[in-house]
Amino acid sequence: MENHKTMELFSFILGLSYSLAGIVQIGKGIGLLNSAFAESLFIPGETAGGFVLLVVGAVFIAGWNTFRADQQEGIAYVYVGILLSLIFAAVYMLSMVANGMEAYLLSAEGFENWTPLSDLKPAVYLGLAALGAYLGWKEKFSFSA
Amino acid sequence: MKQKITVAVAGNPNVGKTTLFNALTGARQKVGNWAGVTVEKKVGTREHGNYEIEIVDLPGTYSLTAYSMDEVVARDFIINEKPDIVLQVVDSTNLERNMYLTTQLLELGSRLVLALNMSDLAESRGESVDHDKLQEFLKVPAIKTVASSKEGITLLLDEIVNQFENPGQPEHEIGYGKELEDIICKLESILEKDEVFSSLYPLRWLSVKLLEGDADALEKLRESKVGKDVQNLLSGLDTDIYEAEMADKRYEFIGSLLPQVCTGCSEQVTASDLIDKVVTNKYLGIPIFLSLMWGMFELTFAFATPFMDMIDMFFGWLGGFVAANIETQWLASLLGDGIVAGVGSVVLFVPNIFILFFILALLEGSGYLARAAFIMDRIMYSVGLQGKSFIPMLMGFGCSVPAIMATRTLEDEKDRLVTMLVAPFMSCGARLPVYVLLAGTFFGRQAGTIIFGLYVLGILVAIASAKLFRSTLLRGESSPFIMELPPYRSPSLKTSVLHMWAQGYLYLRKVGTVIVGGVTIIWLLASFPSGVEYGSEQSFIGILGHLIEPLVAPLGFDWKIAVSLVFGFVAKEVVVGSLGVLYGSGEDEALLSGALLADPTFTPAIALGLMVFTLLYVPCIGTVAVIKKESGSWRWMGFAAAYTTFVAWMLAFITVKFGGFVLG
Repeated sequence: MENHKTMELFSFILGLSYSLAGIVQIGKGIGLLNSAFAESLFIPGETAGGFVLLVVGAVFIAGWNTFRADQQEGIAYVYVGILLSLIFAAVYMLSMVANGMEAYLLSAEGFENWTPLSDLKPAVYLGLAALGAYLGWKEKFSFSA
Repeated sequence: MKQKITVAVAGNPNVGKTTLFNALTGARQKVGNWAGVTVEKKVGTREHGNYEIEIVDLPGTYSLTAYSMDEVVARDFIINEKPDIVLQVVDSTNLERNMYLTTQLLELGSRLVLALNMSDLAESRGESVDHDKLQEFLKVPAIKTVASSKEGITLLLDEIVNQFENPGQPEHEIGYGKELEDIICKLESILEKDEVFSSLYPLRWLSVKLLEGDADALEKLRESKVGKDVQNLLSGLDTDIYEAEMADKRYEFIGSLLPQVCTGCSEQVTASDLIDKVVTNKYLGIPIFLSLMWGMFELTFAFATPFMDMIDMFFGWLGGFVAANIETQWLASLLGDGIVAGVGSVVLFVPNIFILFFILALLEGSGYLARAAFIMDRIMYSVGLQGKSFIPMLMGFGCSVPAIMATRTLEDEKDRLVTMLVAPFMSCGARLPVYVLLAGTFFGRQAGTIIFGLYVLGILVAIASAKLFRSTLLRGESSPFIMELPPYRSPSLKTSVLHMWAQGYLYLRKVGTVIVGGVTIIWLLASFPSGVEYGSEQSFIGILGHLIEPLVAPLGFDWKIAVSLVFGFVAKEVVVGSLGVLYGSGEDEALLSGALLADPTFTPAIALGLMVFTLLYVPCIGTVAVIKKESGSWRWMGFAAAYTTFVAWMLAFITVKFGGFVLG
């Protein structure tokens, strides 16, 4: 019980971060935003990718909301939110590996200036935060199967 | 000559019934269909001591009502064929739900043996079933088994033989309370007067079924000389209320039994329950499902690219090698321009196919795909189908042929037909190469999103079509949908790789047969009449293309696209092979992409229109054949082919026109 305050805060921060990153990514994707601010945070213009970030954000926010109502089910939302974060971080990381192969192994056209930073996206770095939380709370998530 | 024992294996779905059946029979199995219905029937044999045991695998059912074909098949077999033993496979981790079927089998007067399966899993969860006490209460033998490791199989066979040699009278029955028992007694005394009926059916069971308003039992009653008397008695009764009351009584009995025979079996919240609260949530369920689908296609496209480039390089080298080392011109052309180019252009997409099926296997192995049907249930119900229909539709992502065969699991004939007609709209793996080529060429980094959009469009068109059919051609209420959600598990890497290989192998086998045949025909048509330029407008393929062109001209498609679509009827992958031949780029994807970009006919809007058309138009010849087989009707097959093509044409037209404004 005592650690659920930390979880509540975590789900709020991550929910907000994912949601904001999702909104900026969609904004850039549909041409509403073109800010240097977004560039500096490695947020690309991807509408579908932005939608995915919003969904993950919504799961965390729902978890935060459930904790606020003093319901222990909030842990389920945090758990699923972390799982989704890790899945999408893995998707982007594997895409990064593939692009790395194109650039360094096959010297493919269009990848001349590619660096791993080219593929650094919110789903990757926010996913790392989720990974840290998962490792820290592993015991809490080992429910009876 | 060994004496024969007939054993019917009954049980709920997902209790390890098939695993136990396999453990009992090994490879000695015959698979067919139950007479008159499309429910699979498996029969196997096993020798044990002085007996030859014939084991019949009944369909998995939760009860023995007449709501589904599976239930009717199972109970009719027990009543009509009178097997010596009914072996019920029980999931030890979920006794409460499984025992409901037990109560019904006992009512049927079956000589019952219980296999308490998955007992290892129950014990690992701290649940312990006292099977001696269970035997004592139910007066039927109960054997602990672990079908996956063949634990308890010999004991089970010994008990089957023992029950056969020492038959006792089944003596267990559930009391339904005074009011109901009085009516049951009255019904029994009426039914007794029909000697034929008395010899065919257990009268108490039949009385209970009639009181429940069981449609199949009421149908049987029409053949009885006492049918009118029974109808008179039933006419003033509300069978819906009685059905609910009797179900309550059975659960009451189970509820009082379980605490006495099982420790640690009380309901507990599991990880699966917690995850389901989120992933099947009313508001979050569908967005999470769509996000995961998008992730799947994003990865399918992005991670496959370097591997595709490697295959591309290899076939480029092979084409060059053939051209340089074969002197006979026609043979070099057949091998180089025809087979290497055609096959290469299709093999190129093997990485996409493998990745897609690997991810689908992971999702299935984790238990998430079962949730997809549950999540979609409300949408499916709103269009007049049941959530169960979404399972064949999901299978359609792999291949339409097994998807259409999977509609056999739907009890309602109209549900089945509608699902059969709309399943081809789900984008199968064979269409993926077309999307990867065109989306990669015209939409670059957005290719994954475009492909995802096409898959979603397929689902939407399938759902809209189902709604249309349900409100016009095939009106009716959909059947109630009960589905068990398996627990979440860490997907097995080995199983996922095997599944991926099995599906990928099918694709590769198609490359070796249908595709080679297809590209050889295309090469012949592109090379003759003799003297014309290969693949030119003067060749047979050009003539054919110009013949069909007017049909697709309003969509902005030229004769080359028209020909590719015609050959796509053989197998959708051939669309890419045909374009490779017609654009003279052979197997080289970069060359074909360049040729498509250079062709003024091909704009992003046209490319999108072509992808939409490929997604929706008449499915491949194998699928059309299986629609004929499963619907048993040439008419429905023809309708499916015409309807899909009409929808494809209309939506491609809208896409091209609208896309022209947006994409230029």
